[in-house]
Amino acid sequence: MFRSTIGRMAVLLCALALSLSWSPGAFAQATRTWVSGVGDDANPCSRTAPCKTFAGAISKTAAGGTIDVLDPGGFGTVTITKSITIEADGDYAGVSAAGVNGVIVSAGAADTVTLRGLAIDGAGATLGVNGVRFLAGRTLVLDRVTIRNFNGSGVSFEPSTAATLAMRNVSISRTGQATTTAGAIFVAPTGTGSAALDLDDVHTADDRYGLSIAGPATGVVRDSTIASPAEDGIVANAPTAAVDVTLDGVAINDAGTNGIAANGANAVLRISGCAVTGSAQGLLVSANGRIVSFGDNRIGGNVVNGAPTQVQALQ
Amino acid sequence: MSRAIIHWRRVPALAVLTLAFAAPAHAQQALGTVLRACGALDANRQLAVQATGGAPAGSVLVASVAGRADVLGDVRIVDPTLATWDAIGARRTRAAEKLEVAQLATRATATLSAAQSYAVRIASSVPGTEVCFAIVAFADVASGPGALQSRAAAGGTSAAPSLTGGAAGDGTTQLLVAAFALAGDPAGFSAAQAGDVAASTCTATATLCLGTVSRTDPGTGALTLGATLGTAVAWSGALASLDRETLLRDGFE
Repeated sequence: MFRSTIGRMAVLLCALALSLSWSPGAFAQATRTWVSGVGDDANPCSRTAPCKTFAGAISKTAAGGTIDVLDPGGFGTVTITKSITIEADGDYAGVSAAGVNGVIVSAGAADTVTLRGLAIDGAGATLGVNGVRFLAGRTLVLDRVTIRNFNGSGVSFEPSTAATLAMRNVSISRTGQATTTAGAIFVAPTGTGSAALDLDDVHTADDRYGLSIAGPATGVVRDSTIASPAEDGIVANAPTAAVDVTLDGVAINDAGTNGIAANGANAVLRISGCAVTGSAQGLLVSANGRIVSFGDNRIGGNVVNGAPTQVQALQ
Repeated sequence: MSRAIIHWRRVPALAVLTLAFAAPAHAQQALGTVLRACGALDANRQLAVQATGGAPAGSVLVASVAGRADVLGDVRIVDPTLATWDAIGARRTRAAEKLEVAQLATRATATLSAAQSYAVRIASSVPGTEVCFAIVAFADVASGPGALQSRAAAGGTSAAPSLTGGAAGDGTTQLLVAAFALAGDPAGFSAAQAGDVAASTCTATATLCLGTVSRTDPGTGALTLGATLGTAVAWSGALASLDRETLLRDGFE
């Protein structure tokens, strides 16, 4: 009799404990969570009990919420499927991605993903696949992010719907190391997707390509530099889907093939205040692409400088 | 009576058609080498070369320039007619070989003959820099930015340098031209595919060579052009295509 009562009480306590432990995960995701170099993913990711990894924190963070970095550390690769902000304000927030993708974004069509203050590094026996791979979502914002050492691209932007790529103060180096169709920033919408680009203060060095754009894509690249790409600095490939991108104040040096290339009948690159130097070919127009110059660019010191297809007066 | 008049009016058109059928023998062909030489840039940073061959007015001249300098920039071609040359393609290899190659093209606006003077000027380089320079003339291909396409640029170390355009021919392509800068004596340079035209020239010390390969009427297959060397050397190459001059003439081929 006594044993049976104890047994029933134990079952009830277990049931109670289970219901309590399930409810926070299922219904009480926090809008702000925390990770720490000394955290633990078993924690609730609170300020006082932070998690160890982004992947551990993201399941405890509500859609539209923020994962904050408490102190310097490496926080691992992560796949993002909802609106989220991951930010490190001042502290080193590393993502080591040897042999894998650093961050994969496969979110909803209306979701915004922001990565701020991260250092994504693919260094290792096998370099990383891509730094950030965007497959779906509405907007990807990269702010104060460094990406380096990838066999694929630093940022591979492959939206399947209309999406925006916004980058501020981003540095990318040593990408496209083993993939011929990869580089610092690779824009290649899939299916009915399209890309709108808003790149400002972006700097790339020693990549296979600086910025490669396939259509449909529009946008602007402003106040940025591309150093020593093994192939093209900026190339628009648009035999069918259109690319129309403005380059304003972009400096490209030492491109192994072309500084700026417009390839395909639907490729339009509009250049203003740009400098293209020390490259194999400065400007290349191929397969009826178009480079529209506003007449204030500096194209010189390339093996062959090339010429824009048209010069449009400043207004 | 009136029928007879119409009939006789058709004669010139028939004559044109007959000529058009006869034309293929002369269409889209390599007319020959205008010049092919290597040497050092003079104090004016130019290499002047006397042509060994001529070219008829209307032909398209494709120039190739190769160098191994630290800085090889602002390449300009000066021909007897002071034509404007369009850059088709270029490749720079930053490895120890420092191989650079460039291709440019223009249309001859007047008949060009042997012994006329040409020059390649390289403003960013220094006097004494060795370069190789070649110009080949082709008939019945279009020139100008819309007809000139850079197909590929690549480099490596191999006895079989090859460039693939990455896309099949689109039916309007009539000429493929590849230029290979080689960092040493290849001990032989020939076209990898039968029917292609290949030639090369080297500096006196054979530390730099320039090889060119061309194919007329490449059809719609994969656009690949390559060379076979006697020995493996470092190379840097560029491949360009030029469109057909007239659709009418090709329609009868």
